[in-house]
Amino acid sequence: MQTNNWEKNRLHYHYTHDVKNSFGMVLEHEDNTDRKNVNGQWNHLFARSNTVTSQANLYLKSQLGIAIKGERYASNAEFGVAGDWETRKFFTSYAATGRYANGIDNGSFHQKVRVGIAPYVAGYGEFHSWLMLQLEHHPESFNDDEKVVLTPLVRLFKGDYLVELGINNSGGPLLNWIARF
Amino acid sequence: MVSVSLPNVWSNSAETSKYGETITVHVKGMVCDFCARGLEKVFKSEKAVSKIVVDLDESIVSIRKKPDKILTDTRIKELILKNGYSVEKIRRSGAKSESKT
Repeated sequence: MQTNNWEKNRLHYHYTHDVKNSFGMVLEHEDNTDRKNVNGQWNHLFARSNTVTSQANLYLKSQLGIAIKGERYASNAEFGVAGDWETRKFFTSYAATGRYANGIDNGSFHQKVRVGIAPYVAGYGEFHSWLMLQLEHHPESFNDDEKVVLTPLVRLFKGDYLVELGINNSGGPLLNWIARF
Repeated sequence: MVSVSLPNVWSNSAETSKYGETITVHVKGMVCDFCARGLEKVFKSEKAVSKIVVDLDESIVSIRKKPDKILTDTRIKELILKNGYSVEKIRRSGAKSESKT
């Protein structure tokens, strides 16, 4: 999984051990601060609700590793909760994350919400399209333009491949892709 | 839940004995194509399964069982649950009864 946006470039490889747990590695480079993070990741599915027409999930997310900024190295920790609800037509999600790297930052918090709609309902194996709106809140950001970031995006997927393309309210691009093996 | 009639090739009794039993599983939570890929992979790797068809519109997974193999409802539920979904009911071609969860 690769994420590229106004804030960072992120490469995430993870292995789904079972439906409740996935483990992986995260490599990040934050453009504005020139900070790098190398983290181990554990995501845990805390709760799931299935109905015939919908699915809802609640995840606990954690990362532990090293943050690197210039000559400085520090232990790095991230913890978050994330939830989503989706049908074949509608999607919504929320994530809140806090992080701390001793000596590099004093701790920070950010949250993200997404809503989406599928303009048409595609069948299994067909080409799927979603129109989404992503709102991010970074209250501790030094740049006022980055405290609240709104990104309209399109999500496209077929088979084991998914791509998201968007441009935020400051003109910053978003490119995410996921390949499943 | 809408009951679906499978194509003749899957439900004809003569074809059933030749190609194996067809099992229709009504699944809850199967709303995402990208996520249901795992379900297809798990069933394809099951030795008793010769074919699987996922139908998101009807929320069903149709499984063709190999004639000489056993695939119990318990095993099917185990595989569905392992992928994070719930089983509503299981119907077998030619079966008079159905298993509900």
